Amino acid sequence: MDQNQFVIFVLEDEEYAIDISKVKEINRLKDMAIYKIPKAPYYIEGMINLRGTLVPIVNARKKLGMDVYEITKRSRIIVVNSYGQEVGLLVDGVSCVEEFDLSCIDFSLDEIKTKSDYIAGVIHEEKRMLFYIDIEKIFYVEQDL
Amino acid sequence: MNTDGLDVEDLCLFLEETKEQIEKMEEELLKLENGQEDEESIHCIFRMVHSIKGSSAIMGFEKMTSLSHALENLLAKIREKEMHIDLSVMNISFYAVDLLREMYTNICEGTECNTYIDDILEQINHTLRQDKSHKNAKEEHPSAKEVSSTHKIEIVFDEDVEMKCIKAFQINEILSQIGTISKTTPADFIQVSDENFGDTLVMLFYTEEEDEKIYKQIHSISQLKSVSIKKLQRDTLDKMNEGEKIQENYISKEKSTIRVDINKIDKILNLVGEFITDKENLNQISLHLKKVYKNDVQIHKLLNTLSHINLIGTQLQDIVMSTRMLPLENIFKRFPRMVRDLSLKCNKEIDLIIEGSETEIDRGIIEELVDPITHLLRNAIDHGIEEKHERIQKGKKPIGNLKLSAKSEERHVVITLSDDGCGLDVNKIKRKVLEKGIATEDKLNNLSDKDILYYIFEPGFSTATKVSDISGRGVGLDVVKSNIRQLHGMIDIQTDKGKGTSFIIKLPLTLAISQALIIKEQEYTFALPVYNIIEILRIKNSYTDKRIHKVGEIEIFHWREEAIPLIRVEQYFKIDNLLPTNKASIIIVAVAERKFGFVVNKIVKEQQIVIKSIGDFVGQNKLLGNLEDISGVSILGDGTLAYIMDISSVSRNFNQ
Amino acid sequence: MGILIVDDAVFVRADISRKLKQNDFTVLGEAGDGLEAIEKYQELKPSVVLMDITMPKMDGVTAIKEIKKIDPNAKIIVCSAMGQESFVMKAIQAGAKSYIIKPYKTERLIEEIIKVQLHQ
Repeated sequence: MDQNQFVIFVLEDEEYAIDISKVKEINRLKDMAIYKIPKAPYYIEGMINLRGTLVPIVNARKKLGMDVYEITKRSRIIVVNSYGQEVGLLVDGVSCVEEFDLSCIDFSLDEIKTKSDYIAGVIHEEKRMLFYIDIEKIFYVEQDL
Repeated sequence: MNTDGLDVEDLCLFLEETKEQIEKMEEELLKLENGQEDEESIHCIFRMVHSIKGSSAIMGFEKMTSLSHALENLLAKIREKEMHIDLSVMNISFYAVDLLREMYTNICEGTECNTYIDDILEQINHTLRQDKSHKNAKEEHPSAKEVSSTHKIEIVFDEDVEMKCIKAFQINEILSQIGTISKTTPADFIQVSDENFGDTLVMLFYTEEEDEKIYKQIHSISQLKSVSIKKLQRDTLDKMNEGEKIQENYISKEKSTIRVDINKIDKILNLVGEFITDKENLNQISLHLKKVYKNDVQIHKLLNTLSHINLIGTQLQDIVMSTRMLPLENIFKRFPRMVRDLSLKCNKEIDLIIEGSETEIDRGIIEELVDPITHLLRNAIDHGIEEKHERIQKGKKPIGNLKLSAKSEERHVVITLSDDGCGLDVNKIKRKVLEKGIATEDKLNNLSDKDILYYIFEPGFSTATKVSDISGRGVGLDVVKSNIRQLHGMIDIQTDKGKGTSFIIKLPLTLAISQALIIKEQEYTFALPVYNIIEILRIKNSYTDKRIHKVGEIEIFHWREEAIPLIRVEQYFKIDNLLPTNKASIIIVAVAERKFGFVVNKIVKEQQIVIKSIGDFVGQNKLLGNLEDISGVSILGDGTLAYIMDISSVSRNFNQ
Repeated sequence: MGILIVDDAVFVRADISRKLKQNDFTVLGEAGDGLEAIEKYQELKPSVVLMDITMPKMDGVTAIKEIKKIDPNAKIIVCSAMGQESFVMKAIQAGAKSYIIKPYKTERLIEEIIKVQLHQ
């Protein structure tokens, strides 16, 4: 059996899963000052100083085209490793780390995938449904011409 | 040089006298050289120099005053028989006379005096000290001759210093104990009132002592905000005295060296960077503590120690930087072959002249320069220099000239690539811009020729009418620009239609650390590199109104009889909630020979910053987008991120 | 470690003395003119002298010269009124280590004293 660990985070009322091997750390916002970047793209929340390393922060809601939501006590920054760079993802909250069997992930849902490029698959588990996020895609920017 | 308010009659009289005196000096120098009239000649020359010193000071010709002052010191030594007249003294004196004459001519013609006198001042002081060190050497240890050099010392006073002239005098006295001061700014500081003094005293100081010793001497004086000591280049001195150079080479060969893993040096550099960040933080904390515990002895001890740490920091940084420096020869040496091959291919005959390849620059920068320079060379060979028959037709020499030169300037290296080819054609560039749809005709009509030239650096632009396999490979000069930008450098063009084109690249000596002015616009913190800054003006409301003129969308600032476009940083970076600008400052910056005024709301302070690259995140297809106007980020002492403004990019984007 | 205060005005001496004592400095003595200053200097061997310039009998500049003859290492801070640049200059040339302009804040005085003491 292929068991994989995932970090589960929340956006609006849905749960999303990312591969734990990509996650470097999870930070509370009160420990972090986010410095806004002038003239940066809309979905960029700013940059943080993570013990001397500069980490740009992507607002997950904005990137996924959702309504903007105020930062609360539950908001978190998930610092991930993407193509060798550390990048942060601002999410509404992080719920837990869970294990799923890879066979639970349905990668074939084409209509969801065409709607949102970042969703690589859906995890069905009993009554729950989680979206498996391809984190590299979130941080990869298509050339918009 | 300011000749405003001078009486024309006075000026005429001064010019007449000075001319006579310079001629007389030359006459007497020639006599001296021929071995005639020793004593009387020296007295006469001394009188002439003394008189020029006095009259030029009255007229406000500073450079003339400094030079005659230095020469007078030299002559005084000779007159008092403390020094012999030898060939080098004669050469210096003749040279000085030539320079005085040049200045005289400049004044006559009413042109700006740009005679460069730092070299001769250094030479004179060198000779003065050398003579002394000869004496000392004979008396003491003839072998232990210390390396001596000229330092540029910059001292900033506390805001509340009273009688600044006395403070300057104290520093002057205390430094005179361990060396010679050749030049001070303000020049005749004793006469300068507190209002006119400003807060900075600059000195050229010649000594055999270590920086440490100079620093200790200066720091016995109170109320100094900062002290910076920089060694000046020794090139000129070396050229002056070949004999000594040989001796030095001999010594340096005996110096032992070790090979060190470059990773270790990089690691040290990183640590020094962190040290400097912490040091800046400590300085901030100490200033705060000083306010709270004004009367505590320990605080003053802390401040003393800290200012020493500041000095150590600067030295540490200089030393680590110097270990990373490589001469440009490392890359320059590959170009002659390349130029030869390419010119054969194009059927052109081209001479490549390389100058200043001994100029040193950080090894992190040097390798990154190969591509842009190669590109520019290819471009010059392919498009710049004409074919032989065309050159002959135009009446040019059949062989084209290509010159690649490098020189260091303060904390920068300037690399220039010039060709004597056909030059850039502004109209051709205009047509191309329109053709490619890079800009509209309306826009182009509003731009100066110089601005239009810069379009050759735009992506998708190529001046070649047909794509060749030499330079036209689908990549244009935009790549050169972005390469240079990545290195925090600037590129400028000078072109003369039919005569040739020069590309001028200005680079920082090192990538990692630089001096910047920290400014704040609401929650955003920016760092402005100080080498672009000419002047900072804090303006009161009524005053601002008078000097800022609105022409349509553009604001023009009236500054020193120039009309300078203003860029409001807040607006430019699209920061919301525009604040009323009654406390604004205007920072006058120069970039590529043009000036701009940056309007900022809050100037925090000037400090050293450690530059962190954000190159990994910036660019097409990258997370942060193009973000053209920011060349890097610095983490300040308190953890705040400051965005380093790319002034050349801002000014260009502002224009377009 | 102790300070000698030289000033012809009694209340000025008292004021400086009080302020210095409040800040844990030792005031060894006071003098009302240049001559008295020289006597007291030899007697008390203070580490720092605060010297006024215009005083009866003997002015501050002359007193500095005399004290420097006795002890070349004497640390003297000259206290001057505004606009007396030429006198301050003379005092510095005579060997005063530092100067302070009246009226001054206590912390400025303390800063000068500490600075003078720290640099041997």
